[in-house]
Amino acid sequence: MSNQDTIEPDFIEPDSVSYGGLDSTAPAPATSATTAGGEYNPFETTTNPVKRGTLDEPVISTIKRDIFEINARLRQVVYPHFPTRTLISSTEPPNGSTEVTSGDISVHCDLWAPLCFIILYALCVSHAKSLFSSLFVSCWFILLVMALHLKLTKPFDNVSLISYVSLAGYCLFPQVINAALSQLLFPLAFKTIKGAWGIRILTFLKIVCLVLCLMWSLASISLVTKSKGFVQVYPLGLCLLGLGWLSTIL
Amino acid sequence: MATTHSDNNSFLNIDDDLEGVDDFLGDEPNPFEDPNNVIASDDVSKPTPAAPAATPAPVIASDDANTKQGKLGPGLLNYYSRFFQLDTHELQERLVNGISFRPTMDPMKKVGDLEDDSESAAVMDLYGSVWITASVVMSRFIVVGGLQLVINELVQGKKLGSVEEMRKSEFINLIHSIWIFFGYTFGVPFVSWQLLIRDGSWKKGVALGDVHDLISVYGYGNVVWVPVCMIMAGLDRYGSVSGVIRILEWVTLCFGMCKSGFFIYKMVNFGQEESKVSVSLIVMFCFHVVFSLLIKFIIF
Repeated sequence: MSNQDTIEPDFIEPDSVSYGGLDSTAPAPATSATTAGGEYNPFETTTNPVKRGTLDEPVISTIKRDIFEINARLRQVVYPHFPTRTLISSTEPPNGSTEVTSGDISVHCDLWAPLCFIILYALCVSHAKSLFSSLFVSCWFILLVMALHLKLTKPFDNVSLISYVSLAGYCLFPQVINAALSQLLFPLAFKTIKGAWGIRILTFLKIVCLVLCLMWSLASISLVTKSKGFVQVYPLGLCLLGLGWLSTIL
Repeated sequence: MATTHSDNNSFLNIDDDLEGVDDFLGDEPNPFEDPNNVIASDDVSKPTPAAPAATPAPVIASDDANTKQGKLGPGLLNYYSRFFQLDTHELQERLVNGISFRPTMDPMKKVGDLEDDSESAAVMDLYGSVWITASVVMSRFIVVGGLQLVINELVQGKKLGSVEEMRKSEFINLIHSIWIFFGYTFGVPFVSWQLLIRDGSWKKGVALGDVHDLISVYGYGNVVWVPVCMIMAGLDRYGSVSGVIRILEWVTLCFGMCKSGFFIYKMVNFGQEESKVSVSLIVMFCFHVVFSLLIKFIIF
């Protein structure tokens, strides 16, 4: 008789891992990605189309899938038809419980979209010249400051700092549009119109675009983080105004 | 084999001091599930003889609960959240006090959480220090750029100077504003605090309890720099044209320096029986003058 006879083998519960990033209801791939011993191998390829991180798919598919995921998140957080019914149902505590809200905000935190937005913003504002690196670092710093502000003023919300960075990054999307319009599209469109009136109209459009995008960003981040009152909203507006003003004035 | 079995059974005989901690089946509340439960030290010192096995658990709960729940370490982010808890009305009162010519300490403090000890029961906020200073930086940045945008481009319809040069100078000015204002608001109070303690100007029990209170005072002292920076940005635009405007710039700067310096002086001396000029106050005044000159020569 040995120790193996007296000690029972460990029972391993199957992990409920989300393989779709946004799709937590994806079927567990235990049936398809199994080794010869019957154990699940998470690195083995499966036929599950939602599974990500595969090496045998075309790059274009990976990029397309990421863009769709970012778009789905933007539809939740930023787009003008905010708040959607989905977000309302997932953020409003049904029975006084705030776990759903915190969970919903915390679960979908990625830094992929903020990285893309910041690169696009810095490219547009710097014209791909010497200011790019400074703007890139400044944008991340501002996101961190906004996240710290939210974390410090809302200490009882069970949301991590990195989730707030992600949310603030998504709310940069209107500022990216502002930067692209102010620095690229409007100057290109008014290149043919010479003289004082061309500059006047261009400046007027820049200011209108700044105001609209600032309101859009501020409304998005205030609603999604449930920030209320001057004390909570003003710093967010100040940070977003700084980013918007940089793209207008530089 | 028999030896192995006896070894296995011996694990059950280890006294791990955990016996009895789950025995809260009756009306007795379980201290591990009640976050508000704080067992007084007197109770711990008098263990009940009828239940000697259950005594170690309350000892652990008493010490750890008081140290971990009551006081967070300064290295934790949540430790600083109490300095950012204020409502709009409180902020408004403090801002008005910051620009008032008769500042008092009353609006600056509020009763803190019950978790705090009595010495720091009234805490000042750091929210004002961070965001008022940020507002000062942004006010200067927006007014300079806004005037150029409106007057040059919108009204006159022309662009002045090289675009690349303008972009670089604006961005560099913004960086200079950030390090000067934030460096003064968050760096100088540490030095000043040490000076106040060493030359005996600060006594325990006066209005300022700790260095973060002094940072808060410096932060609210910056309120006056918001309009001053806006006016100076406007005047700076025409500074090279007229000598009168240059004088006006200096007058505005002196007003901002005196107003913010007076606020800091009143707050530091608040609660002292007699106002005396000490070495620490002279050094603080020198810091303030250097800071004001840096604003004039580097930013404007």
